[in-house]
Amino acid sequence: MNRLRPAFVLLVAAPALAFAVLSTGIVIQSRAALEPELDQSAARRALEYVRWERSQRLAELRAATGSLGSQIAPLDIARYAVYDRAGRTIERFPGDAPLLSLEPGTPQTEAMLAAARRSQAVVDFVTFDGAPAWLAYLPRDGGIAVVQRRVDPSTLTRFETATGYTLALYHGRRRALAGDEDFGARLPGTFVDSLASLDRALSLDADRRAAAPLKDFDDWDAIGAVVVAATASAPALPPLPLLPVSAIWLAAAFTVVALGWVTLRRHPGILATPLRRAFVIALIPPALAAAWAAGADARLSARTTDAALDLGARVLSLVPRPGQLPVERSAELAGADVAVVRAQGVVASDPELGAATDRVRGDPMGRVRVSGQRLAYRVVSEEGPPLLLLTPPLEDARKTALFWLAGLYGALAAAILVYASHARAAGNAIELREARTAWTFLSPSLVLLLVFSAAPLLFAFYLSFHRWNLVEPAKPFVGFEHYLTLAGDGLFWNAAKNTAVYSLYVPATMVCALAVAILLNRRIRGVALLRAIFFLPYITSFVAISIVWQWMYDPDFGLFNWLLGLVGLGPFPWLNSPATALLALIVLAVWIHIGFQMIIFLAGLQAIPNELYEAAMIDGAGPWRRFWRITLPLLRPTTFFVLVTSIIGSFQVFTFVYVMTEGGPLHATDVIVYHIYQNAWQFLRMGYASAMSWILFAVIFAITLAQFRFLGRRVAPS
Amino acid sequence: MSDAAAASVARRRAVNAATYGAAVLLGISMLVPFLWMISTSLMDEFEVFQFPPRLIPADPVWSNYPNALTAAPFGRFFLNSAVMSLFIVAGHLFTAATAGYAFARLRFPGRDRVFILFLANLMVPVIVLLIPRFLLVGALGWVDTYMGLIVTELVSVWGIFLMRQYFLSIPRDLEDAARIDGASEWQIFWKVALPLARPALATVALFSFVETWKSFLWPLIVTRSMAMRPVEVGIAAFHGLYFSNWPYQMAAAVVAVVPILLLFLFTQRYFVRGIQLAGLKG
Repeated sequence: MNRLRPAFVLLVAAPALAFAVLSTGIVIQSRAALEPELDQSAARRALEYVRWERSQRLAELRAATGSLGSQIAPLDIARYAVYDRAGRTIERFPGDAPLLSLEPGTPQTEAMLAAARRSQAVVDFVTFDGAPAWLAYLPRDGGIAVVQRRVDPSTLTRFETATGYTLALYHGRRRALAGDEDFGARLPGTFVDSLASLDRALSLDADRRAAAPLKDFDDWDAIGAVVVAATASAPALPPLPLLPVSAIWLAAAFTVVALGWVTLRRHPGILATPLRRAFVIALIPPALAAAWAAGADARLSARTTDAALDLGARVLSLVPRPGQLPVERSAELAGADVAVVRAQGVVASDPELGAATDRVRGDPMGRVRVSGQRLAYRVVSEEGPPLLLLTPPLEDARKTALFWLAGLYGALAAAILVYASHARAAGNAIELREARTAWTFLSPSLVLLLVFSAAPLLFAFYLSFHRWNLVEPAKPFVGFEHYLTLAGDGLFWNAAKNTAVYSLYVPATMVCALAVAILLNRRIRGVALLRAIFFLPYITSFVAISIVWQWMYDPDFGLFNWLLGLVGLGPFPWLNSPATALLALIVLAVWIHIGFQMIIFLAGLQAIPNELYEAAMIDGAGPWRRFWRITLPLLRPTTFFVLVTSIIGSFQVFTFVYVMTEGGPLHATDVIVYHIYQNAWQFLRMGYASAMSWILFAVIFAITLAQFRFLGRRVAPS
Repeated sequence: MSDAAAASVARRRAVNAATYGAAVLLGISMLVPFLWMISTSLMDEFEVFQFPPRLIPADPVWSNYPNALTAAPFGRFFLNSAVMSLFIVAGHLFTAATAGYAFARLRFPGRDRVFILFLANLMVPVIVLLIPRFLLVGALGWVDTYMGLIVTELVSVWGIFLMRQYFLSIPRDLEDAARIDGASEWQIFWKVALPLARPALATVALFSFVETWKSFLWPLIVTRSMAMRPVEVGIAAFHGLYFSNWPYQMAAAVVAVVPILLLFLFTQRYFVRGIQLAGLKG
């Protein structure tokens, strides 16, 4: 037993113990962080539900305005006016002053909405005497009363029973709907005091009460709040996963004891070689990862039930009365990967699911096994036949992902190990030591690059042969269809053309940057400051820069048109016209990149030996001749480097387009990366986007290879 | 003869003065967008929409700043950017130092081939990796979390390259001496090589910080809630919300630009060195 060295304790016991301690800690921490999160999402759901309720009332109001005269008074409307589509007043109550002052010569829709916003009126499109018309009305109480009218208290209680949260609606500081429970008394104005701060975000107080802002009709100002507070029947956190936690502790203890026993009894020297020590060290990351995964399961399982709740709120907004979900409406939910089940029968799909409801009575949410598949469920409504929601649990997906990650890591570790023992046979001890150290040092970068760059690259290639919309599980194989479609896709070629035109900024910038570099390649006062100023645009926030330039390009009030106007040019529409938008982006790109290229040129210039210039001057060569005969030829490698890297960079422009033009107008600035982004994340054409991105990759690859051809010697490891 | 010399001196002075003047003028014109941004950020809503534009606000509206900054959770944006940058810079430093050292200093079979494979990553446009990375991060449950913002970005191939170049440029005498003294490889790396590479580490840290702070596409996709947005994405969202309120937008832009500006002012020479190291010695 005297062989029990510190190294052993450190290397074997430490990972196991760290595993146990960490996972327990993470379980507890995740649960602590989870409660407020659940409450916030409850508030968000409540808000959506209230909005839905209001839109229902609005529809009723619209229906009611068919015969306005008799209906107006009970609707609590202070003043109203009806306008025809040209904006002429048809009917007005009371008859003294116009409700909206419409601007002549403007499209009526815009003018109506603008005037309504100014006068706090509400504008609806209605049918009046059989003809389409605008109804503008000014509710009593400045817009609040109508909101109040439009939310039916009885439907809100349905939300409460379904989610287990108490819900209150506030307009300003006032309680809008008086429910049975005196909820307001427990709510000392925490949220409603600061409507402004509520404006865009959810807020939460210490007592698990969350508030979401209630907006006015045009979604502009916060006029109140939807507040939810957890009640006794609120969805509690899933129980602490005692079984996994204790299992982890047991496993840790077992590892320590067993490994220690085996190691010391049978192989006294098992940890003596550095190779084996390295192997044990290599075990630590997967151990920690597994611990982390075990702990975070708690968080994910709660998120799943939260997702089910979310679906619950959506179902509620579709169900007129509990238990009456029409079949055609359930189809709207099919895309959400959910099955809606009632005790008496299945609404959505599989009849076998119906049996599952029996097992879940009395337990509002959890996990259930249906047809051999593990599903998360949530009881949405217990009025009448229970309405049940099923959704695949998130934590299962994570386990699969972690399994693959761990497998990858293990394979890598094994490969390194095999390689190292192979190397031992071949080389001497010092070489072996170096090689082993090198692989140890490389392994973090290598693993991360494999997982987050190499594997994604290949997966994108795989995706490019499939059709997939990210939501549905089905990924049909389509062969080369995407690539063939691309060849005939005008928008793709348009994006490619725009990208090529945009990359013309590179030569333009290079000429400017070289001139500036020559100008600043001398010892004059303040040269460091000047260089810094030129470099400044490149390091600042591109989004902020884009916003500033968009403002400078404003055709009516922007700086550029004013400056050009001073010398008698313009005005130009800049970003507003397909003819000039791309040019505007190119000008911006020149301004941004000039300093970056200047710095590289400066370094190139400083590497040119001064003697060359001196000799040329003795020979009587003028500055122009010196530039063409000495500077430019000697700068050729630098110039080439700048050209190639900048062009590759220009192919990947995104931020400016996203912020300033969104590819418009008329696809005039739709560059390739933005086009891919849109296809992937707006049209959900993942396969098609992957195919396009692989073509971009191939182009960049070809350019880089060409560069290596020319610059091979300079980049090759020395 | 002396007249001719004097004339040539005078002419050279004139040329020098002209180039100097041109340089200063160009420099000032580079600053115009920044000045215009600051100027607009202090105007009220009506002053902005005047033609010809007012260059300097008649009565600076300082309240634009607090108003704009409370209109969106800018504090949270900055916190997110800071957390994200902190972890990514740490990751870059760690991976760049270890891998760069291995490539520059340690001999092992296949080193150059592996190095080329590493460099090949520079060719891969981020947009190709976007969808699979999102799926991976989604499968791990990290969408809209710091983990998701950080984990895919932990390695900087450029940083590895730069560290390798730097390690190659410093003499290995000290390391050999330490090796003879019986130091382990880890000790040599940690106690001998790394302290010598401090300037290169500083350069990597700075560039990583700026790149991370400016990164846009991945944070745009992996964050969903306002509370997880870093500054760049937050400002872009703000841009959409307050589309016609230019003073607010300019105030937000100023606030976004200032931190990097300050950093740059104090660390300028590291930036220059970093670009030159990567651009030329490569």
